[in-house]
Formats: sequence, structure tokens, C-alpha cells
Amino acid sequence: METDPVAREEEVYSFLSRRLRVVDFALRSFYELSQEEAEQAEQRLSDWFHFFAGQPGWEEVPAKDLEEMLLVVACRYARDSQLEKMEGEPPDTKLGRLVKRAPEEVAHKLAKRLKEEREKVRQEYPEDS
Amino acid sequence: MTEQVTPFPVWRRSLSYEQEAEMAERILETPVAERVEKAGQLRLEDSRVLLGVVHVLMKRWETSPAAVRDEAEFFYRFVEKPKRRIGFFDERDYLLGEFALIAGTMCRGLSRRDEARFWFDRSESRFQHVMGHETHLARLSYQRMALLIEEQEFEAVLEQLPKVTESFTQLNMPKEAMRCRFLEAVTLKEIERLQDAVKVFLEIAREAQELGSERLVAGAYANLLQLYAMLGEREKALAAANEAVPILERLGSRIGVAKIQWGAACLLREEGQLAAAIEAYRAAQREFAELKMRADVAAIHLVVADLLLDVGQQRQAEWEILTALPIIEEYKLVPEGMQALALLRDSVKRREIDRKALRELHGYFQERVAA
Repeated sequence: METDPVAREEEVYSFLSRRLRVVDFALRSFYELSQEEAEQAEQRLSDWFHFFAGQPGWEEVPAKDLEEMLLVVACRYARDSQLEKMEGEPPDTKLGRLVKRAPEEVAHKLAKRLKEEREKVRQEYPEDS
Repeated sequence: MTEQVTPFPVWRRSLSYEQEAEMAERILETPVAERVEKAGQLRLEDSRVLLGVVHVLMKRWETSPAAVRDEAEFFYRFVEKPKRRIGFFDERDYLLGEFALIAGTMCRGLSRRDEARFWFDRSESRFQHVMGHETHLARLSYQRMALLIEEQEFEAVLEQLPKVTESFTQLNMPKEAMRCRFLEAVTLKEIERLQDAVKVFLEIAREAQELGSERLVAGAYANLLQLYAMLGEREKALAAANEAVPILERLGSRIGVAKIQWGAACLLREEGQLAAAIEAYRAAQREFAELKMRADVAAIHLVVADLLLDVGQQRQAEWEILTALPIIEEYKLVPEGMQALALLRDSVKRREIDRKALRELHGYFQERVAA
């Protein structure tokens, strides 16, 4: 069977619904976006991720395997927003230092942490996994 | 921070797949001259609608490659200039890369090889800037490999193919990896390792069935038909055709059906049924002509000329060759066969067709890449 776009749409929606808290955490707790900014970012990220997951070449890759890509784009978006507010010159604060780091690196660490947490849950509650 | 299911409307697509496909069809039905003026109404700057156009064009490329090429060029130019804000991240670069890849792929199928290379270069320069570019660059490498086969660069293909296959395997793209095996099998066929080619195509047919890729299954059987015909194995050739035809019809693959007709013609020729073979070749040729696949049309002219000489129709054979030569020259189809081409042209002028040159020349066209 070739890719069923309707089933793919549902898969992506379901994946995104499960990752909302993680993305929200990255945007607001890491990058200190306001609630309003975070909501706007989430709308755009949602549109982008549906677009990305529907591209030839990616449309057959399980959505869960694209998690790090989503986090990279979320971190890049948030970093760029904050950098713009800082007029390109991050101060020596916690946020300023974060903004100086590559968003790919931040996303990678976040994805790694998530993976470890999931593994821990799987070990503690094997019957639920 | 861990995952919880949070139904939140924002994560739902703002445009469903059906709406996206419907908008894409509407755009393609709109005459090109009216599209820019109606850009807002048609949502021509909406990345999701443009992705829908990509999907529709990909579905159509086996039915109308020339029209798909033109459409891909239109959308490339539309997205490129003036610099429009499409999407918020890398959507614009992705779309430019994809439309260029489609245009290049169609040019390859239409034997417009210099143009294909030009589009592939454009595609590469755009894809380099997008998220997950490894996947798209691997897809592009596949098309470049296929172009190398059509240019008879078999050594280069066999050398580079394992690397491309490995990229797809690492990227968790089994169907694409299998398409690379398809190129390997086509190359084996071209270098006349026919039994090896049969073996690989049989494996592809089986594995593609398991992966649920009908297109690959049909492509493998279409090639098996030709291979068995070349090997004189009639029953197996017919069985392969019986596997391929229903799938190709279901997929609406006119190119695939034309290739089946070509395979059937080969079989008839091998069996010595020359008149029936000529008819079958002509049927395939008509289909290729409608699809504007002029290299295939020219190739069939040469094969038919050869057969006509066998049945003593010298004048008709001359006509076939004279019809093919300008196409071969215009599309620079056989740069490596220039000597044979010159010999053939001279022999037709003298009205003594050089059979050796004719066979050498149509040998360059054996079979073109189907995957």
C-alpha cells in the first residue's frame, strides 16, 4: 500500500498532541517566550511540521522519528525571536547565554533528555509501555 | 515535561489533506496566464497548497511528463521571483528544490539531458538549506544516477550506487533503497548480464510486494518481460506481463503500459513474428509520441527499420531512419555513437543501409530507465 495521506495526517496530529508540553516547555521555560508568543510559535510550528511530514521522502517516516527535527525548529524559532528583541546582542544572562548556543545543540540535549525519561518510565512501568 | 495527550486545535492542520488536494487541482485547472492574477483566490502562496501541487504533479508524471515539466517550471518561477513569503521557516527553499527536482526528472524522461542537469543543480542549491536535507539530496542523487544510466555511464553508476543505497538505508527509506536496486538491475541489463538482472528484478518484485509498493512491483515485472523476451523465455515473459499490466492500468501509468507494449514487441521479434512485432512496436511508439517521449519514438523507428529490412521493405526502412535521425541529433542522444550515426546517415543517402551501424545505434537505446 502506498502512503495514505489521511492516515498520515491523523498520525501527525496525534504525535503533535503528545508533544505539545515538550515544545511549550522549550519555548517558555528555556527561551522565556511569553504565553502569547509561545501560542503563535506553536501555530507556526504545527503548520510547518504538517508540511514537513508530508514531503516526499519524509512522508513514510514515522512521525515519532521526526521529534528532534520539530525541537530544532522550535528552538531555532524561539532563539531568533529573542535575538531580534536583543537587537542581535545577547546580554550575559541565562537567556543570553542560551541564545548564543546553537539551537540544534539545545534541541539535541532536550531530545536526549526526553528519551532517557521515557526509558525510565518504561523500566518502572513495563506493562504500560 | 514528558508527553501527555493534549488535544489542542492548533496542532490540527489548518487545511485538511482533502482541501489541500482540492485546491491543488483547482490551481492546475486554471490556465497559466490567469494564475498570477488570481494568486490570492487560489492560495498560490500557501505552502500547504503548493505541497498539494507537488503531490498532484508526482501522480501525473507517468501520464503526462511534458505537461508536468512545464507546470514544475511555472511553480518554480512563481515561488522564485519576486521573493515571496511562503511559510515561515524553510518552506520556500524546499518548494524551489522540489519543483526543480520534478522539472529535472521530467526532462530526464523526455531525454532533455542538459536541461535535466541544469534543474538538478538548481534543486541541489535549494535543498541544501532545508531541514532534513540529507533525504532530499539522496533523492536527487537517485535521479542523477538514473540520468547516468541513460548516458550509458554504467561504470560510474555501479561505482556510485552503493553509496546512494546506503544513504537511503540509513535514512530509514526502504522503498528508495529498493529503487536503487532497480537502477542496479537496469544497469546489469544494459551491460548484458541478463541472468543477473533477472535475479535482481525478481528479488525487487518480491520485496516490493512485502513493502506494499505497487509501482515498484509493476516496474520490476515490466523489465522482466523484456528480459525474458531477450532470453527467449516466452512463458515467463507472458507471466511477467500478466503481473504488470493490471497494476499499471490501475495506477494509470501510460509510460509503463507503453513499455509493456515495447516488451511484447521484443518477444514477438525474438519469436520471428516480424509483422506482429512491427505492429506492437508501432503501438508503443504511438503512446510514446503522445507522451512526447521523443527519444523512445526515435529508438523504435530504428528498431522497426531493422525489422523492415528483414522483411524486404528497404524504402520504408529508409523512411524510418530518416525520421529518427533529426530527433537523435536534436537531443544529442548518442554522443558515444556519433560514428555509427554518421555511417548510417551516409548509407541511407547512398540507399544502401548499413545494418551494422543501424544495430549499433539502436543498441544504445536498448531500454530506458523505468523506475
